[in-house]
Amino acid sequence: MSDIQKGNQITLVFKYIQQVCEECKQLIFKIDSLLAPELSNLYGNRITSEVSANLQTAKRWIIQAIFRTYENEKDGLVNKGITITFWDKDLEQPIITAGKIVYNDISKRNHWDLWNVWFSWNNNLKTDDYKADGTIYSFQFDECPYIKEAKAFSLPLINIKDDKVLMESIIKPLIEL
Amino acid sequence: MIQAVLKGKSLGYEWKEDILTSTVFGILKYIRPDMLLIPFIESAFLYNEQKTSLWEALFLEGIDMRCYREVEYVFWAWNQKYGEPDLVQIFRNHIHGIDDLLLIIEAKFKSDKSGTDEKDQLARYFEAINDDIGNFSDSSVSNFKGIKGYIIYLTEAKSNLEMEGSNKIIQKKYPGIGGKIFQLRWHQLTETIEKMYPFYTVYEKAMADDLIMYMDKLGLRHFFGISLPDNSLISTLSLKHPIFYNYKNKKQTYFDELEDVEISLKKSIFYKEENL
Repeated sequence: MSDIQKGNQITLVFKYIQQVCEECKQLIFKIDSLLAPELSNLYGNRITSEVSANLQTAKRWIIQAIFRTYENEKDGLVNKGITITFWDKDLEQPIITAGKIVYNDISKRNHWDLWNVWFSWNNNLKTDDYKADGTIYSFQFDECPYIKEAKAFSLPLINIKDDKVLMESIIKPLIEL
Repeated sequence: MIQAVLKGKSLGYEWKEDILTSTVFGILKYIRPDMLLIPFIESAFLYNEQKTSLWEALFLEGIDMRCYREVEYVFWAWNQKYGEPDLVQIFRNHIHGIDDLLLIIEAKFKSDKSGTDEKDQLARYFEAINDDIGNFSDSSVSNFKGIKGYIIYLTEAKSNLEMEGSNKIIQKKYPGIGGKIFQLRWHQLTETIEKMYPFYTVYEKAMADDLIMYMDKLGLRHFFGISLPDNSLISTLSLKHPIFYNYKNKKQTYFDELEDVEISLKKSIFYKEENL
């Protein structure tokens, strides 16, 4: 293999990451549309934070996760949301998480609430078989009093193969939460 | 409207079907009909075994929409008794002198068909153009003489049940008439654009690009899942010496394997270790 071919592999990897991001954009637009007009998104085109432009934090140059949060005007203390996590410690593959959060104090709401619920609060679950297989889990966390309760479920991102799977495995359960 | 939708300034109006219809067909008007409008609506189909397309149905009647020199768009033509179809399209001036053609397009986005049984929306429009065309408010429609009766039901999701209901009512009132309501889905627009894109002029490309972004933003595009790495990428990612990371801290990356690296990596180059 020539040096050019070796170098081209690096380009291929970056192009692939770009392609995945593009397809996630399309997926999020699709979810926006399927939840509208009852639920509208909260943060406009803002989809992530904490991606670094700093030389010293190179590991954060690549996006780790994205979020989308939806509100319903009729119930101001309840938000629904989606996160897609591409990589994290102990995460074997990208997952899409969907959930509902009921707030006690919505002024403290954060972009990453749903992500934190799934990735940080799972230690509080009593069950050991905590899986990203569509099972809906309920969460409560005394150390985070601004959130009253949350429900969430996850699936491997690549399971969402088409519109029909999206509707059956994400949209319908999310609406019903 | 497109720019407002893309920039999040449309205040929820982007989910209104009239805004969608007006925005999409308002742009289609300015692109050569054989480059987008015709291939788009020709791809409408029946829910029969053969999935007969509108193109095939018209072909059997000896009609090729590409042979009409003009297309007129009449948005929301009003008929007092039967209501207001979203769009009437009149194809005129056929190069071989065939009669003009009138199509009705009823578009939906977040809502279902209006009315059932006697009030069935699609059946009413069929009746309107067949029995009461003279009472449309717009003279282009009311004075129309030519081929008519085709209805295109343009929706986001599959609407076979809704269409079946309308067809039954039409067949009951007009025995012998079959298969006049064709299904067209919004996602077929982007698919048509992608197919025709190489043939566009610079201006048409600019309009097509906007339309694709708009349809994308509204989620009116098929989602086919996340691409999996192709074979070349899989082989890259499964190399013995990965490119981007040290496998289990053994310093075995692609770069470590390069033979012509002149700098020794055994010593620190840019920083001092803490104990020095």
